[in-house]
This record gives sequence, C-alpha cells and structure tokens, in this order.
Amino acid sequence: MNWIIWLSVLWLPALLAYMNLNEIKAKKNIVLGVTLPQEGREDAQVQRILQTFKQRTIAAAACLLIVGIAAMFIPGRTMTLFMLWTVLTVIVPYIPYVLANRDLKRLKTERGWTSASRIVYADTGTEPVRYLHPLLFVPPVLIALCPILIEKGLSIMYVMMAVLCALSYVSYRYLYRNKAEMVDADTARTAALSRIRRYNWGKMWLISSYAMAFISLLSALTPRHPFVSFLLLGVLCIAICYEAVHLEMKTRKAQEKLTADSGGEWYVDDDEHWLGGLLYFNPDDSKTIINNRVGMNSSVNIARPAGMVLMSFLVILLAGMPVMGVWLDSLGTQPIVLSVDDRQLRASSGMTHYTIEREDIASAELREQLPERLARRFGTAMDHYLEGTFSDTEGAVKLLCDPYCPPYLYIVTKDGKRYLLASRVSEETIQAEQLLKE
Amino acid sequence: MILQFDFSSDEALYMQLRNQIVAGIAEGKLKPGERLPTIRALADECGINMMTVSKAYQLLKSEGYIVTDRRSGASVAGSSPTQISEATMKALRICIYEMRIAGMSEEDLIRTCRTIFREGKTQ
Repeated sequence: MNWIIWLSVLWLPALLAYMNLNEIKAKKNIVLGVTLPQEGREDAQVQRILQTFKQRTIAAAACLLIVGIAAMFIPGRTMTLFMLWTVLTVIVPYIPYVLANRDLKRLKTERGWTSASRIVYADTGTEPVRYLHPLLFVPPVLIALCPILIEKGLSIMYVMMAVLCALSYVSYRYLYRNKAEMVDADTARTAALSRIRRYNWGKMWLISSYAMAFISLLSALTPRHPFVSFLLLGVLCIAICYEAVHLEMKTRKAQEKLTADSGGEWYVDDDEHWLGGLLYFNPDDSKTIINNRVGMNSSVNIARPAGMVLMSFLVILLAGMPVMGVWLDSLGTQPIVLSVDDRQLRASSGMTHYTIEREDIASAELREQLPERLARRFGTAMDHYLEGTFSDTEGAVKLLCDPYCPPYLYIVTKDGKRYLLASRVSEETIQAEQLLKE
Repeated sequence: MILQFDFSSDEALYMQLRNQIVAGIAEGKLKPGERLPTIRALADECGINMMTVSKAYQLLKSEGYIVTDRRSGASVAGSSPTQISEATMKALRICIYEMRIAGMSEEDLIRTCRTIFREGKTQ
C-alpha cells in the first residue's frame, strides 16, 4: 500500500515544474505573472531572470522527487511523511516563481514598462456568452445512479456520485467569471481568446461529469471483479488528469499564438493586482471568483471577504494535512475495543462506534481469515486498520478490525446486515464471542 | 470601442461611462444602431456594480443618446439629440471661463474647439 500511495503522487513535482516552466513563454503579454511589452520580452536582463527561474524550478522538482523516493523506503509514519511531502510539493515549486516575479516587476519599473494603475478596460464589441445547455449534464447524473439497481445497500454512495456529476455543471457555470479575454484594442483577438477559454472550460467540466459517472459504474464492478475495477479506475484517473492538463496546455498554446504580436503601443496591464503573480487582490473589483490571466483556471479575489474566507480555508487545509497524516498513522495502533453486556455488542475505535442489539443478532462466530475479494466501498482501509463498509462475494459487510489480528468476530443480524469485528488483542475477540453465546 | 474606468478618479464611474459613450458616438466609434453590452455583461466585465451601469444607461437614454429594448438591450440611438441641454451649456461656459483665466486667447480657444470638434469626423 505504501508503494501505491507514493506512486500516485510522485509525478506531481515533474508536472508542476512543467506547468511553471511553460509560464516562461509569453501569453497575453504575460511572462511569469508580469506583463511585458514586446521589447521587454527580448531584453537580456529579462532572459537572465528567466534562465535563473528555469534552473531553480528544475532543481526544486528534482529535490522533491528525491525526497519523495527516499520517504517511500522509510518504514512507519507513512501518512505523516506523505502529507508533509504533498504540502511541500504544492508550496516549493512556487518559491522560484515568486522570486522571479519579484525580479521581473522590479526590472519593469526600472525600465518604465509600467502602465497607469487602477484603470479597468472593457470592449463594447465583446460577444454575449453562450453557456452549455444544462441538459448536457443530465445523462452523467442518470448513469451515476444506475448502479443503485444492482446494489441498493450502497444507494447513498451512488446518490453522492450523481450529486458530484450535477456539481460539475454548477462549477462550470459559477466558478467562471464572465469576462472577455482582453489583451489590447484588437476586438477580434479578444473575441477569439474568450471563445477558446470558454470552450475548453466547458469541455473540462463536461468530461469531469461523465468521468464521475463512469467511476460510479466501475464502483458497481468492485464486488465481483475488484482487481479489474481497481485497474480501470486507475486508468480512468490517469485519463482524467491527462485531459485536464492537456486542455490547460491547449488553452495556453492558443493564448501564446494569438497574442504573439501583441504588446505594442497599448496593452492591458493589471499586474499591480496580482501579488507575486499568483494571488489576486483588487478592492475595486466586486467579483469574488475571477479568471486566472493565463490558461483557463479560476482563482479568488482575496480583497473580497468571501475570497479571503476561501483562501484561508485553503491555507488551513494545507496546514492541517500533516496533522491529518499523524492522525491517520495513529489509526494503525489505536485500540479497537469490543464489549458485550446484557443488551448490546459494542465495537469502538476513536470516532467509530458500532452498536448491535443482542436480540437482533442471528449468528455470531469466529473466523480466522477475512473474506476473499474484500474491497473497500466506504470508509478507511489502512495496512493495520479497516473501518467502514466493504464488499465481498456475498455483498456489503461492515468492518472494524486490524487485518493482521485474527480471529474476527463475524456477526449476521436478523435483517441480514453483516459485520466483521476484531480487537487488536485476540483474547478480547474470543471473549466477546463467548459472552455472546452465553 | 474600448471603455476605461479609472477607479482613482474623482469622477463617478457612471459619469465616466456616460461621457465615454457620448465621446464614442461623437467620434464615430459607436455607430447608430450599434448594440451596447448588457448591464450585467458590462458590470461583470469591469467588476463594477450593475446599478452603476444601469444609472449611466438611464442617463444616456434620457438624454437621447441610446435606446433600450426589453429584448435586445441597449443600442446607440438612430438619430442624435438635436437639443443641447442646459447643463451642457453651463459646463461649456465654465470650461471657457477656465481657459480665459488660464490666459488662452480667443483665437486659440476657437482653434482648440475646432480641433476637438473635428476629432473622429474623418473616421
């Protein structure tokens, strides 16, 4: 499992380096978050800054990769190391970016390439927006609900998948700012750039909605063919990631080509609102959700209260990841308590509690092995901790046990619910089974 | 036509919009019947309040520079207003006074007025 977790993220430093290095190429007159005129792009000092950025970015990615590979071989504390490394991978690549942005901005001021501040431009010739029809998002919602016909016990999970499919439309519609991609006074260029961005943005969310629907369908395969399902899910995830990056790069490529000859006499420059070239802070702008200047993604205006809340939430989430790693690692050693009294059987570990009325129990027996083809459907599956709803060849089964601590108390209730519970101390599990028989 | 809003200016945003549209019509950048962006689109575009855009459009409509339609939105009026408002004449008078105080001669003033008047006429 250690290997799977690490291999699923070890490619991130290379991807982020690739994306950041792409920012060296001028798109919409912007290089590393700084708007430069044509003459500025060929400037020798600018080229030196870009070269330094390139070297630093490659070095940062190589360091992160080496640290990640080394962490793979460190036994124990897997999740703590994994989370810590993920946080570093999200932050470290942007340090060379911010440093280069600062140097470029300084040079821009020295050379007098700055423009008037606090001015916003709009083109009256901008085309009205045509959004994708919401009905296009209905088929994935219905596809995601289909597995309910096979697995009624996991209806909640499939409904949640359908909700995620529907949320793709909400994200498409509302996480995008309806703003023309104005670079200079060329209205035709503005219209072309806006159309390309909107098209790729819509395509991405439509693909995301259908991908979610197929994940739901593949989940239904899990009980009968867990390995095939796992493999197909992996392939699907790789395909989604590839397509997301592909669309982003396609948008950037179009922006690069269409604005190659811009940056002459007059061009739009709102660098002063972009802190470090990454964070948007503009009190004059009433919008919270804004478009990134390069590519097709969205960001938030941290000068708005809602934007600040969203950004704070993201920072707290990042800061909380290592803490979550420590907690996840502690699950592997956290005691699992089984207790039986006159009325109930209780199994608890941390925040998880299962209570079964004794009068509802149809059978209780000890098993030395966990079922074959056991697959997690809903819950936690760690090396030394299984908790939540799983499935085997007979259907859904609730688990709370350490897979390395047999025996397991197998309970079937009168209404057909199945449980596999075990303490980390074998004697406690045996004692619980004996008490249930009395 | 490119509109620009200066957030550091003392002039109200709706007035900036109104004046630029008037200038656009006078200079021929906006043709009679040409559609203007909808209130929502322009507010979204510039990150300003819809009320600001609405106020400017209301003013332009009352002055006869634009016409609005429930279905097609706002567009430049087919014929420009023939009457000069009292407020415009008052503003012109103040401008001329300011130029006189600044020491501008009558000939220079007329030459400047002629240059401004002819701007965009050839477009």
